[in-house]
Amino acid sequence: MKKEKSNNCEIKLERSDKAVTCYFTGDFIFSNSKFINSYNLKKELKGAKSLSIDFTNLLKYDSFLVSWLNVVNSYCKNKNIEFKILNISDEANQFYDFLNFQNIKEPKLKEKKSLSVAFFESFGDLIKRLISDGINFLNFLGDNLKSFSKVFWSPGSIRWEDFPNQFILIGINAVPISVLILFLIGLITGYQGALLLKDFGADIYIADAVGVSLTRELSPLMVAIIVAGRSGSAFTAEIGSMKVSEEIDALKTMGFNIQDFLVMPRMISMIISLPIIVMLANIVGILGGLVASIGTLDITMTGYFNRMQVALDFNDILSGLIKAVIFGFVIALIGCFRGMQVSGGAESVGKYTTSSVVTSIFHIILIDAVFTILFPILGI
Amino acid sequence: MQDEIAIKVSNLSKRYGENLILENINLEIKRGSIVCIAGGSGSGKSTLLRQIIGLEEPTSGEIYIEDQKFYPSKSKESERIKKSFGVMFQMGGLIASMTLRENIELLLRTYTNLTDAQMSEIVRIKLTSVGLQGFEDFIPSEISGGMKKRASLARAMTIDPEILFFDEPSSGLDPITASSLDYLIKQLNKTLKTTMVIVTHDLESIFDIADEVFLLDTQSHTIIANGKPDVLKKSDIQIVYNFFNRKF
Ligand SMILES: Nc1ncnc2c1ncn2[C@@H]1O[C@H](COP(=O)(O)OP(=O)(O)OP(=O)(O)O)[C@@H](O)[C@H]1O
Ligand SMILES: [Mg+2]
Repeated sequence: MKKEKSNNCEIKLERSDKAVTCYFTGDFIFSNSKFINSYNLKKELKGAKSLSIDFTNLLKYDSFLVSWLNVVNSYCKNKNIEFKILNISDEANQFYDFLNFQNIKEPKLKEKKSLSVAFFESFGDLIKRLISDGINFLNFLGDNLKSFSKVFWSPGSIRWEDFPNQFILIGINAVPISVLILFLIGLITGYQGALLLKDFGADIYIADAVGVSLTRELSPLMVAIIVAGRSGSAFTAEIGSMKVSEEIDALKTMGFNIQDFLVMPRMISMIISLPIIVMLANIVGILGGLVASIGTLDITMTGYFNRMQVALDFNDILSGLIKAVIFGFVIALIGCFRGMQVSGGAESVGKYTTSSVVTSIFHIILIDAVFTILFPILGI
Repeated sequence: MQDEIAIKVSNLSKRYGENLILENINLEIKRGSIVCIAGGSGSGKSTLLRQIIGLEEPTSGEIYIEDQKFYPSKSKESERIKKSFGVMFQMGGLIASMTLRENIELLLRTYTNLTDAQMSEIVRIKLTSVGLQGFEDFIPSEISGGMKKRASLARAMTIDPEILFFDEPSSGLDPITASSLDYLIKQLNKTLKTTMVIVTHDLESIFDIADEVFLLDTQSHTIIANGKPDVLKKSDIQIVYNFFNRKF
């Protein structure tokens, strides 16, 4: 006979020929699961033809007893071992039956698929999702342009009350961080340029390098990325949570146009504020370049600014501002679109917020690349 | 055994800032009984429940669970007591990113040493007992509001808590589901001897299952009557009579 004991339960095993009897004493409860599961019943059952479990001395019990018995029972069934429960109290028996045999209906399990089928299915799902994503996006874009045209034809239908608020959130609040980052970028560009130009003795051309690279490329790109992270994500989260809490549905049933009501105030604020931030960023970035060049090169402040006047074309600044407007449009569009895609619960808001930022930044850089090729052709 | 006290609240008051919500609440809940906390909307039922289960600290007063001081008390002791609670929240409180199976297994993995086979047995048993067999691998947003409530109950009773708390279990449920939930509560109470504390204003369910009712009053911020529902229905106090007879 084998015996195992813990503080308030005990398992005893008796084996005669091919019949195993298991005597259980004490509490068969969740908090004893560690001890009870450490007892290797399977090993004892090798070669056995029947297993009886004796509960004469069972004290406390809970659902753990039921799950344990069920698992042992199905194991025995598999191995063709006869399984019996002995001397169980009526009360415990009732409990067992109650948990086990209540209103069992047809199970509605999601069926398990083989790995290869699952792979192709998820691949197909992905393609299907991409296509419907694309169609939905075009739909959204169409609605958006329709609403946008109302700015000129019937401005009254757009919710301008929201506009100042959004303008402050998107525009004014983004200025400090954008300006700080662009100052550093100007400083870095100036410093790196200075190292090169010094070798050629072409010190004064630092103004060209800093001015053109900032106004044409770096300012609009960096500002757009900052704003996409700050405000594009906020659009998605805001609109997404409104969707989860059925606010969007409520607005729709009350007859509001979501584009006019939610998207337009955000989009217009975005389109107006981005070029303004870029202008400020240009100025501060050029100052950053100045600090770097005075520090490392043999030029004066007057020299720097004189050269800057010659080097910077109106087209340089204009092309940066055009980009800023387009970037603003794209950030707002994607931010709101992702927000509208949210469905189900809160976890979906997080998912689409992430995806909003990633999609925005990808498209910003893609569009930037297109413009870099397009502008020289257009002569800007 | 029947008459031991599972929960004792004495002189409990709660204010939010200047706003007095509960004043001088005294109640005793017998072990193994089904108790309803009733009262009008905004009378502080949920607030009282949140104090008893330790989600919020009362402004003053004491709470005892099974003769042990639960509030005020050392955090370690109250953490241990909290583990013997199961709570079904008004909105469900299921973790949205997890399937029902994972929601239930989370507790089992943290507090017990079950094998995988035993865990899926428990998941099956518990979901079956609330009529959700087959929904193991659904996430909360894929099931209806009433199903979420039932799933929340399944999770609350995962490791057979000694006391189960419910906040408005029947709100938002159809009459059949609501009464099957009542039946389930009674059965659990009978077979598992779980103490049930139910916040509700569903009169039918109160008359159906409650051993004792505590009635909270919005005006006086305190319990104005307690006892068997049938007795309270014939109460001399006008507000109490009105509440239990649906009069205004
Ligand atoms: N966190 C809080 N801060 C301030 N006041 C609160 C807070 N929570 C609740 N209250 C106030 O406490 C009062 C009671 O609220 P409680 O949620 O407990 O009501 P209830 O009885 O559960 O109502 P219902 O039946 O509608 O659920 C209300 O007046 C509410 O305004
Ligand atoms: Mg409430």
